[in-house]
Amino acid sequence: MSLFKNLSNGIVKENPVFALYLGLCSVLAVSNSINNALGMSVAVIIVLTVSNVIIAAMRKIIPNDIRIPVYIVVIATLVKIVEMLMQAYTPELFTALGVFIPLIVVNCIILGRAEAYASKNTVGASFIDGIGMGLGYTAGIFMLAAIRQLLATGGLNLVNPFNQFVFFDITLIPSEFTIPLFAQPAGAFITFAVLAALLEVYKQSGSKPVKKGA
Amino acid sequence: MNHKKIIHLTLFLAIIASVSGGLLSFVNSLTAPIINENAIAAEKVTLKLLFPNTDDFAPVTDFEDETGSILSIFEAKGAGLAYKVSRMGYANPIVMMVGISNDGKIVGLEVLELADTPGYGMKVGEAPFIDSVVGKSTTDGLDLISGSTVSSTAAITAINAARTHFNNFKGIDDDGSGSVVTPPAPELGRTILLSSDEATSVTTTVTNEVVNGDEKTFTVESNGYSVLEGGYADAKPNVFSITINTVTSVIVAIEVVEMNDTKGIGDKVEHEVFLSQFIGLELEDENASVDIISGVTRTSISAIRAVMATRGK
Amino acid sequence: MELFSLFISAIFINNIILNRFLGMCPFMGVSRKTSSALGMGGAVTFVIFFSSIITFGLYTYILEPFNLQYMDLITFILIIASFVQLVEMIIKKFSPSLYKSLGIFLPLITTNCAVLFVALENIKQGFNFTETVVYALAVPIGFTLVLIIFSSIRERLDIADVPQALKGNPVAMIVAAIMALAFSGLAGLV
Repeated sequence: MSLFKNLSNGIVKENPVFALYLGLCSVLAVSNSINNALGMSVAVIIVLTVSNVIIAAMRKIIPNDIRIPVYIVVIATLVKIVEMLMQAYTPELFTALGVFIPLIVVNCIILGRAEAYASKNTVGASFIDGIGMGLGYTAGIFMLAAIRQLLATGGLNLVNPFNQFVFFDITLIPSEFTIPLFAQPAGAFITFAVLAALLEVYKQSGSKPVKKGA
Repeated sequence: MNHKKIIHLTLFLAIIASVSGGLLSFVNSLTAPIINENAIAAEKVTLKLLFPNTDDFAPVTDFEDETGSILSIFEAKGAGLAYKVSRMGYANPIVMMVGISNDGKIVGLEVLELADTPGYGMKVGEAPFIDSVVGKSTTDGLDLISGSTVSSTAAITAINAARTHFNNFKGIDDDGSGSVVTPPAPELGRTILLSSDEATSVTTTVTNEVVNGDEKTFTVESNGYSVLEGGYADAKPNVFSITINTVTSVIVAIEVVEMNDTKGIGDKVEHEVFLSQFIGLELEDENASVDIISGVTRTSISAIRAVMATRGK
Repeated sequence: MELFSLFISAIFINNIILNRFLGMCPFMGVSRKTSSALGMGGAVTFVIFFSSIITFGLYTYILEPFNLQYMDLITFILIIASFVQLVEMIIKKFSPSLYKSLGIFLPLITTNCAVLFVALENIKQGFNFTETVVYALAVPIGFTLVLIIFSSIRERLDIADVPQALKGNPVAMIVAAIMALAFSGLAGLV
C-alpha cells in the first residue's frame, strides 16, 4: 500500500512538473505534440528508473565527497546509451526531439531524485520512486502536449516510433478554428500557467477532491 | 584530506568512468552501423525524387564549404550530385535538397523544412519559385520572390552554396554571374489615364530639350515621394529623360536619369515592366493609360507627370 | 557579417529562454530580484563561455581524432560541473552576499540546460573556433538580458493584486508568454 502511495505521490501531489517546477525545459519544448511528449517521457522514465536503481544499489560504496560527480557519470552514461539506441531504432523521434535527449542529463528531476531519494533508500523503493516520478513527468507533459496540439493543429495523432504504424489520427477542430499560437513558445507558457493554476485551485480545495477539468 | 583518501576517491571515479566508457563503446559498436544506414535511408526518399532513374546513392563525406550551408552531399552514381543545404530564413531555418545533374543543370529542388510567414516566406516552397530554379544551370542567375525577400534570399544563398561546390568539384568556370540575383519584377497596380488630373498635375520642371530631327528629348525633373511627402532632409525630385516624336506626339523612349526616392521601393519604376508601358503611347490620346506599380504610387506618378510635362512642347 | 547575424540571432531571435525553453530553473528560481538576476547572469556567462571553449577543444583535438565521439556527453558534463565548482569558490570568496542570494542555484548551474546545450550545439552545428566563441558569448547575453527584464517585471508583480491561484509561478509563466510574444516580433531581424 505504501508503495502505491509513493507512486501516486509522484504523479499528483508532488508532481515534478507542475508542483515542483522541475524539468521545465524539456516539458515546455517537446510538448508540441503528444508523439514527442510520450517519446520524451519514455526516455526520461528509463533513465530516471535505471539511474535510481544503480545509485541505490551503490549508495553504500559511493564515497560521500564525490557522490555528485559519480551520479553525473552514471546519468550521463545512461542518457548517452538511450540517445544512441533512439538514433538507431527510432530515427524520426530522435530527430524530432533533437538536442533535448542529451539534455536529459541536466534534467533536474533525475539528479534531484538521485540525491534526495535513491542515495538514502533501498533498490526496490528507488525503483518505484523512479517509475512514480517518471509517470508524474509523463502526466504533466502529456496534458500540456494534448492541449497544445489540439488547439494548434485541431487534431491528435500517435505513431509507433519503431515502425511508423499510425495508432490513431483524429481531427476534432476544423482548421479555420485552430490557434497556431499554441504551437509557439508563448502558447507553451500560457498553457503551462493555466494548468499550474488549476492544480493550485485543486490543492486549495482539498476538502472536495474533485479533479478540475484540465 | 589525506593522500590515501585522495587516491581512493580518484580510483573510484576512474573505475566508474572506465566502466561507463566500456559500456558506451559497446553500445556504440552496436548502433553505429544502424545509424549510418538510417542516415542514407532517411534521405533516400528525397534522393529518389531528385534522381528517379538512379538507385545507387552514396554519401560524400569529405567536402569543403565556406558558407556552412551544406549539410551533406550524396552522389547519385552516373547521374549527378544531391546537396542537402540549410540557411536561416525569416524565422526558421530553410532546409532543402538540391539535385544537380552531371551536365551542370539543377534537376530538382525539394524543400524539406520551411516554417516562415504564411503567404510570404512560405512561397519558397511553392511551384513558381521551385520551377524558376529547376532547369537553371550552375552559373545562371536566380530570381528572388517579390514580398519574401528574406526567405528567398536565404534559399538562393543555400542553392548557390551547392552550385559553388558543384562547380569547384567539376571544374566548371563560374564567371560570377550566377551569384548576381535579379530583383523580382514589380507588381503592377491600378491604371491611370494619362489625361486624368492626377497625371497632369504640374509638379514638374523641364530642364533641357535636345532636338534630333523629328524627335525631341526632354530632361524633366518631377517631384516624387521624397519631395511630395516632405520631411526628408535632402529631398530631391526624380529626373527622367523622355524622347517624343514631335510630329505624331508618340513616346519613343523613357529613361530614369536620377532616382531620389526610397531605395528598394522607388527604384522599382526603373524596371522594364513599368517603363515599357509608355513606349508607343500618344500624348494627345484621351484613353492612353499605364498601370502604376503597386506600393510605389508616388514615384510611379512622378514618372507619368514627367511624361505629361512634355505634352505640347 | 555572418558572425554578427549569428550573434544577434542567438540573443534575440533564438533566445535561449523564450524560444528554446532552456535554463528555465534559474529563470523561475532566481528571477525575484534584479540584483540576483544580474549575478546569476554573470555567473552563467562565465561558465558557458569558458566551458564552451574547453569542450570545443576537447572534442576537436581529442574525441574526434580518436573516434570517441560517444564520450561527448560524459566529458562535457564533467567539465561543466568542475567549472561551476570553480565559479562557486570564486564567488564565495569575493562576494559572500551574492553567494547567499544565489543560494542553491549556484551549484545548479551544472544542471542549467543552457550550459550543456551551448557545448553540444557548437559541435552539432559544426561551428569553427570563432563561431564557437561568438555563440558562447551571445547565448548567455540573451539569457542575462531576459532574466533581468523578467526580474524587474516580477519585482512589480510582488506588489500587484494577483488572483490567488495564479500567485507566484503561474503568473510568472504568463509574463514569460507575453515576453515570448514580444521577442517573436524580432524574428527576421537578421
